[in-house]
Amino acid sequence: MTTPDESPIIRTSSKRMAQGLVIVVIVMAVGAAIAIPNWHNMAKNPPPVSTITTKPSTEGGAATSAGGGGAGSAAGGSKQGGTVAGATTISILQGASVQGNPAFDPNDAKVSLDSKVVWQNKDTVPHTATSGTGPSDPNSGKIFDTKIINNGENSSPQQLKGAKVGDSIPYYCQIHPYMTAKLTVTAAKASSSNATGGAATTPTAGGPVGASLTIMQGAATQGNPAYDPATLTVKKGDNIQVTNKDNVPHTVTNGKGPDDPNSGKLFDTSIINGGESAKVPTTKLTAGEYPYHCTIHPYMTGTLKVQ
Amino acid sequence: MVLEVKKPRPMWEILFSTHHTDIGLLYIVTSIAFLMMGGALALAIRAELWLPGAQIFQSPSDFERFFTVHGTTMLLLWVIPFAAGVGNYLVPIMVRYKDMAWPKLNAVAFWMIPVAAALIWLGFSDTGWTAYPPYSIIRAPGPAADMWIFGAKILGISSILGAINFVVTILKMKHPDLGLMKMSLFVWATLITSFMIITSMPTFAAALIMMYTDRLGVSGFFNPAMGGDPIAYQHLFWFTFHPEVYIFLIPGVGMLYEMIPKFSRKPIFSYQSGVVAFVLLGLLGFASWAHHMFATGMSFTEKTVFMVGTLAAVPASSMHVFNWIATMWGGRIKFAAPMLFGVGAIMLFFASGAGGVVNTALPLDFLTHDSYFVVGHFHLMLMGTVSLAFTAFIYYLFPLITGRMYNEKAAQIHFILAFVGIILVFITQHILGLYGMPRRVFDYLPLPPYIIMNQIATIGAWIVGPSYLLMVINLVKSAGSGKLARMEDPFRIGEEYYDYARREPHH
Repeated sequence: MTTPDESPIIRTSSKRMAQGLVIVVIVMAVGAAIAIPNWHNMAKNPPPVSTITTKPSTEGGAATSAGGGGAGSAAGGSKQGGTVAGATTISILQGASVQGNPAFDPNDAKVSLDSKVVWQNKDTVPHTATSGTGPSDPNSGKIFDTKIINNGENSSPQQLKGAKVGDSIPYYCQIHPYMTAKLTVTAAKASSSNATGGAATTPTAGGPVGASLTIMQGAATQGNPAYDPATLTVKKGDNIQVTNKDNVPHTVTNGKGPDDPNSGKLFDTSIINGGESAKVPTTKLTAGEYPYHCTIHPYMTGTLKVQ
Repeated sequence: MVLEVKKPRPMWEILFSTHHTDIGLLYIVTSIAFLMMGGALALAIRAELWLPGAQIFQSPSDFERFFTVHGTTMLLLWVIPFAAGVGNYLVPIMVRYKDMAWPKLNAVAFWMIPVAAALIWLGFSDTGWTAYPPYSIIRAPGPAADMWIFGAKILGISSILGAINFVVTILKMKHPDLGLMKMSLFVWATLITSFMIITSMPTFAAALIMMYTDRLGVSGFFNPAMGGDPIAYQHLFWFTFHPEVYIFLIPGVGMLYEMIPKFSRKPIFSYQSGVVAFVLLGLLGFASWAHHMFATGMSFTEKTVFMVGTLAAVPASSMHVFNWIATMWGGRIKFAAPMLFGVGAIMLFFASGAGGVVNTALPLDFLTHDSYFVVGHFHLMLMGTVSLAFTAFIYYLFPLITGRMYNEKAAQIHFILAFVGIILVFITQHILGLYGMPRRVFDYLPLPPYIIMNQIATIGAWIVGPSYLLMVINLVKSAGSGKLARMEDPFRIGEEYYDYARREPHH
């Protein structure tokens, strides 16, 4: 249908064009006036879910109930684990099924020869702890194999078959082969540590606290400051109190990065969960400078000076 | 600036009008404004990458916020609204109906866009425009990420409302004498695009709500700590956004079908093959989404299926290219600005399509995955093909909207600068990707090839940016005081232009 248009074509003028532009520019200016002063405010609140999931990562078995079902049953499980006399408990951390997350805690557990080992699955999906370097290892599962540990449950106490003192036994999760860790077998002790985390490498005894090192909040984000102070000077023999003020796990491990062949040989706090602290003894260190890093976030680096 | 049939009206009357030409104009002006804003962000991004290390941004997170809003703006606030605006303008005229089927719904669909744009631009989220979990769920800082989720949600609803309106207008309101196979190919393009939006968009809308409840911690669809699967989000996301690639492309193809025969002074080589290729693209767009996810650990069978599904879209796209070339072949071509941009778009469509074939070939995809090759490929498609076709149509439609002619010389300078600039940026980025430069990085290794190629790309971007500024100045100035257009044939090619008098009066 065509309607003839008798009136001549009426075209816009420069004045009306300017009016239209003024509307567009005013709207954009108002937006900029709101957005630019609030630039940082607009991206500062962590999502609510992050405050829920980071709470349960408190000390060992005494998990708070904030994590809901998973953490609650883990707390129940740890009691069960405690009843096994002489057993060393190793935790499978929450979120371990995601590649890149820390998997086993402690990562390099010291187990005395007469002790049995119990794995406590604190994650929300099933895992295993199977000796060997991976599914293709022909000796996989020969020394120990927990079979499937359901979420929130404990494995049966595992005897290390054929292990000798000083052995370092790698193990992995058959379901998630990227979850790997190792066990180091130590000499049998009469009073083997059976408490949760008894296998932790962090010595709890002795030595005055001579210096403190803080892992800053937000350190896990690349580019943020990581350690405070970045260069820490201590006297030989002092214990360094490391406090993790971030809400994700970190470590303080000697070496320039995970590729450093000596990484973790001189000192290693292992995983320090968010809000927790650990001690680094310096008695074994000779005077000098030691670079250190976080094994989880290798871009977090710092330097330790021993006098 | 604005067409009116009877007499000039005050600006607010245009703003609150429900007439399809007014809403079409609002869509077009808004989308061009967002093109310029998104382009400004791109220039900042390229300036940052001029040298390794921090140049103009304080922190990587500022950089991430810039490229997130750049991507969201260009895709959802420039390409889709511009196509909807041109559709609003022309579809009722082409199907000979007085307005869109539901004029008020049409106005609602438009006015959702400024609201959504305000959410996205005031927040400046840092998730990347794809907002992949787990980052977007467990880490992305609010309120920016939440504002982004709701902004994208509102834009999705807006495009669904617009699409429903187009489908009903085209299928139910077209003139009874006008058969489906007599409609303009641009109307076909809008129809296919609208069906694709209606089919694909709800999936993304659902994924956004699932992501928001995951962020609140009340659900764990995509949160691995709560037993969810982040890969599931990628499936939902790409089920929407691979068809969305064709939703971006098909309107541009339809616009080229409007212009190429006119400026070649020949009828379209094969109308039927154009329709068939549109329908094929519309169907095959849904058979290829997982080629974005070859590296997520799918089985070989799945990967092969999606590789074949993606390659199946190649013949359909080639049919369009062949159609254009055959139309131009032997024609007396007039290289006015719209035709220049149109031919440039066809050339770069071929180049970006070739890059797409490389990406979809399974073994090659693993080499180019997450590198600048991918960035170069999809930018060449969106900027070199879609945006150049859209720019051509801005110039082509300009006399119809304003009754005046733009400055042809400035438009041709714009074309030369934009075409050269686009090649410098995006072809270089392909090579940069083959050298191994990862995408979405704030800093890069100070290797000489990286630095040189990044600087070439930055120079290219800084050529394209001012060329588009030249376009805006040209349009604004010409709309107010340009030469009067001869409405029956403004480009003096001896072909029929849109019938200015056929537009229905305001009601």
